Amino acid sequence: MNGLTILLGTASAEVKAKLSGVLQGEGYDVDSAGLAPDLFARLGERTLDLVLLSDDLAETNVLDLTTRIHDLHPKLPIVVVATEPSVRDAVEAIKHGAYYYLEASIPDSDLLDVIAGALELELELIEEAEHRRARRLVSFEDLESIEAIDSIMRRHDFASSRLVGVLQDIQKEMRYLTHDALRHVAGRLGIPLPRVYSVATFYKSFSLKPRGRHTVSVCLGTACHVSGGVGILEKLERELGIKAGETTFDERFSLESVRCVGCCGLAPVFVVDEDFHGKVTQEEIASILENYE
Amino acid sequence: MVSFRMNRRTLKVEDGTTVLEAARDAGIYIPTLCYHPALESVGACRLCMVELSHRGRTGHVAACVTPAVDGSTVKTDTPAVKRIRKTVLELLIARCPEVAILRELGERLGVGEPPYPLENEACLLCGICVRACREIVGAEAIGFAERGAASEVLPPFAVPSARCISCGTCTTVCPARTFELSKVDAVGTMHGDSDDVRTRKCVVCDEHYTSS
Amino acid sequence: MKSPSDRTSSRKSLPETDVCPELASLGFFKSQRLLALRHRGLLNPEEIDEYIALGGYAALPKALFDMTPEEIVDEVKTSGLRGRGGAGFPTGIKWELARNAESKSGSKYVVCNADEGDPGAFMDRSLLEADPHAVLEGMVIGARAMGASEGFVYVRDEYPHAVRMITRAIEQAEDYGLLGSDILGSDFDFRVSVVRGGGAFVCGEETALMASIEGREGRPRPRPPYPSQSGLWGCPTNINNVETWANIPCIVERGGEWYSGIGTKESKGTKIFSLVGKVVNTGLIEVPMGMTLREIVFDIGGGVPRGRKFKAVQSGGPSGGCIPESLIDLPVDYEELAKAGAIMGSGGLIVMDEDTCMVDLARYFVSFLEEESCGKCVPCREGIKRMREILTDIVEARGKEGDIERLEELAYAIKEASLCGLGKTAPNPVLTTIRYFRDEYESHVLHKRCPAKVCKAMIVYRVVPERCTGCQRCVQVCPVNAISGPRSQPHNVDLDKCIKCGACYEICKFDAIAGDAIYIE
Ligand SMILES: Cc1cc2nc3c(=O)[nH]c(=O)nc-3n(C[C@H](O)[C@H](O)[C@H](O)COP(=O)(O)O)c2cc1C
Ligand code: SF4
Ligand code: SF4
Ligand code: SF4
Ligand code: SF4
Ligand code: FES
Ligand code: FES
Repeated sequence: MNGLTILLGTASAEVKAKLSGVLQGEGYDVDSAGLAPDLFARLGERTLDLVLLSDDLAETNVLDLTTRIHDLHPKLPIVVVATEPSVRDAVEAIKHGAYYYLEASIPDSDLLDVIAGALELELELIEEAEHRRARRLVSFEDLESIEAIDSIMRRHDFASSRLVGVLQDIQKEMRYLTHDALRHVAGRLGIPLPRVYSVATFYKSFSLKPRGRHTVSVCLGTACHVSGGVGILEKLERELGIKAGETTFDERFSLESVRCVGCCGLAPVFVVDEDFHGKVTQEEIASILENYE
Repeated sequence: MVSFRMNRRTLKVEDGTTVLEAARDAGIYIPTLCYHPALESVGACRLCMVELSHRGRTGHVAACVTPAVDGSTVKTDTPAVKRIRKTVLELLIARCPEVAILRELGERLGVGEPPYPLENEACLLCGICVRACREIVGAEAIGFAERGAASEVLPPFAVPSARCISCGTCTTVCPARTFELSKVDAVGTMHGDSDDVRTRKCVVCDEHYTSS
Repeated sequence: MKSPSDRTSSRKSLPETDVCPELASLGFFKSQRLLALRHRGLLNPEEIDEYIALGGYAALPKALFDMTPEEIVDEVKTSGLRGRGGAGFPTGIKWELARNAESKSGSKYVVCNADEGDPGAFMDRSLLEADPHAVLEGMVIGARAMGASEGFVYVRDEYPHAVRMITRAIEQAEDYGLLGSDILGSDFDFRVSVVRGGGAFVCGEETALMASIEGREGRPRPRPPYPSQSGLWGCPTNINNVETWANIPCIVERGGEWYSGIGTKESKGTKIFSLVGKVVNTGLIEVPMGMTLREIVFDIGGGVPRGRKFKAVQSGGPSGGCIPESLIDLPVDYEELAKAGAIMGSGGLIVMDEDTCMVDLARYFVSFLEEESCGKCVPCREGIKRMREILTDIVEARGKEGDIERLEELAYAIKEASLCGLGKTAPNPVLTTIRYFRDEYESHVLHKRCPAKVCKAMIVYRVVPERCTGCQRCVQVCPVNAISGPRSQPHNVDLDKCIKCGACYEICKFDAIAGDAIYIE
């Protein structure tokens, strides 16, 4: 036994016997259901690692089933096994949230490969989280963080159109966007991950890398540029020993340049977190930074 | 029906027909790169610029995304149009000097070596693969990452995407054709940096495609 | 439910020129005319009652009960108000398009564009922070005129205080029945929510802004279809700038005729500018259209500080252009600025003195736009990058003959072929600086000299021995220990070590005991 459980959804005794045999031979624990209601009951009862759906379930369209399971458990991999495969169905199944679409006649070794691949993906996530926890970095795989992210999404009514706002709030709370956080958001809001990834990398206020406890933003807007903003930035770079866009080794400061923070009358300006420092000279910088631990 | 003039001819087309479609039907050449008849046009490459005059106003528009307007006049070959095309194509060649289709277009349009330092990118960022994967395949496995000159076509986090069904459509429609199916990885579109590519036989057509 | 209408109708609104009398006599305020900024400093933005006490929300009942939607649109058309967000499109005509547009789902939207990405401008921020209800009132009136039931205020994320103020204003207006369902018992429903931007200049562009509100990345799309035909979620959508909305209550209250009496033939009303840079009085000003740059910079702004010489004004931010001293008598309106190669933009006016290098300035704007280009279309993404490369070469003393012409050629294609306004206007700063300061470019390219002494590759810092007091202040500030000399004796800059940071120059010039002995060659 390898401790992993697969739920098999099929109405055909033949398919059930064949697949169970193959899976059990590989050490998987197999549970099965022949009707949709039974299937959902199982889903509610026990912790599962993967769902294998055959397209022979009576009175149920395998695509609808995929959608419903995916909605309930966005992280649970679903593999569809088709007795009558078609490209159209393959495409639809993937669209509806399936991890993979297979023809029933596929060799056993390939089937096991696919299943291992699907489970590996899950394992990868877990390992990544373990790894982070071991290094005592902020870990968003913690249940707490998942809950925090969920409550942020709740504030936005789980509306997919609020993606930008959701990511902003997560970024504010956690200082940066982890891959897991993005995956979780994509699953929960029902937005394809590539789209979430595009948004997260398009906007400058998001960071996919850890950030310091304080953010130092030097204004290089026009007014600040003509009033010596570049000199201020260079001075800060020397002072902190990092370049704009980087974070100090002790994660105390992240340094960035921004374009106009809207107090051009005070140029040159730099901002630490939400404190504005206007009409600054290079000389004052070190003493200002001392106020931030 | 829309009736308008293109170069020296009068064309009649259905409402909503784009200037580009009208030109193609009439056999008038307008160069394109990011246009694909099966996909939504996005007007990204700007190679299809033409001159459009309507109600006393004249300007340049992208033919692939501009509907033909009744009573307007389109010119596809003015000195200004050629001047714009030349710069746009030079910019593209400077980005992707190895891409054959750009050199072919260059020959056709009389555009040679660009006056800029050459880069060596494989991807034109035309977005055809992204649109095909979303609109035709429905998998939406790849997308644009970052923005501006740093833009890239990638699966999320640049790692193999669980959404990719390895249909190979993206590689087939890519106008840059700098990669073959078995080497999809080389462009970093669908599989990021992994170089361990296995292929699997398609259930329907018996072709071998890469699998994720 | 409290109804402000009976409270407000009895009160007359303050005449718009009624700034505190002492203030009004100061040079900075004398020639200003406050419409959009009419409540500046007069009210606590967190208290709706104060806005109402000053006559606020008086235009709303008029628009709801005394006017038909068509009449509101007509009034705005008569006023001649043009969009304050950049292009200056006539607001009334835009409203009419949205009003007449069919919506398949029945929904229409209005949006307040408070993205204000133009670095060097902060009009919209001030309006939202100081008088959020004026903007809201304008939006409700507009929604009524166009038949919209939902609105969004899109604020850039760098303005947390503005977000707080407008959010609070919305809550208060809802409490007072001025927003929400059945506004003031008129059967008209309208809701507003705040959306924060994600840090992308291009999201000020209408189609990108809508994509961002819908939760996607802000890449513009081609037009047509225009937002008034197919905007947010495919429904007709009208987007106006913060200042445009803030002007609406005045217009409805006092009539379009009255409004069109202010300003010039083609540009009506007043405009808020943020006057910044090398000028004595910096800050927001609101002046009638048609005032000359000279009046703005010298009468209101008090001229250039420290006795330096005025050189140029940049109008319209990165999409705008610079206007040289020879055109200082230019009246500021949409047409005149366009003729000079600049644009009104959202109203940033940055004053530059002789210490500003125009090539460096052009490079600055171009590198800003390079970072902000969404990357979708080739001329903007690739072309701006090439412009920046050439300009960087020029300021770093690697310029070669033909570079200026190459810039002009690129500028032409970028302007003509780019998909959205960002690319179409991106070459403006380069083209205007070439047009008015070609000699500066030539000096950089041909003689490797920077006349303004800004470009690091072309300058050196030296000490004038006769003036040096030997105070050693420069020694203390130099980050690389490039200055040495015994106390009270003339010092020396080691040119091999110097990184040209300018710290010594700054301290020597302004420190009390230093002798202003360091000069740039
Ligand atoms: C790149 C770009 C940035 C823009 N930024 C802004 C902005 O920050 N604020 C704004 O009101 N309009 C901005 N605009 C103009 C808007 O697209 C739009 O024209 C304006 O909001 C319309 O409102 P108005 O008619 O009231 O001016 C921008 C346009 C472009 C092309
Ligand atoms: S191979 Fe993958 S990435 Fe390419 S089109 Fe098919 S599903 Fe999309
Ligand atoms: S990979 Fe090919 S199709 Fe995709 S954006 Fe690049 S050039 Fe276009
Ligand atoms: S002009 Fe620039 S910002 Fe606009 S769509 Fe093209 S690349 Fe994007
Ligand atoms: S410019 Fe900077 S580096 Fe050079 S001498 Fe002065 S303080 Fe030192
Ligand atoms: S330019 Fe720095 S605050 Fe505006
Ligand atoms: S073909 Fe029209 S813009 Fe690319």
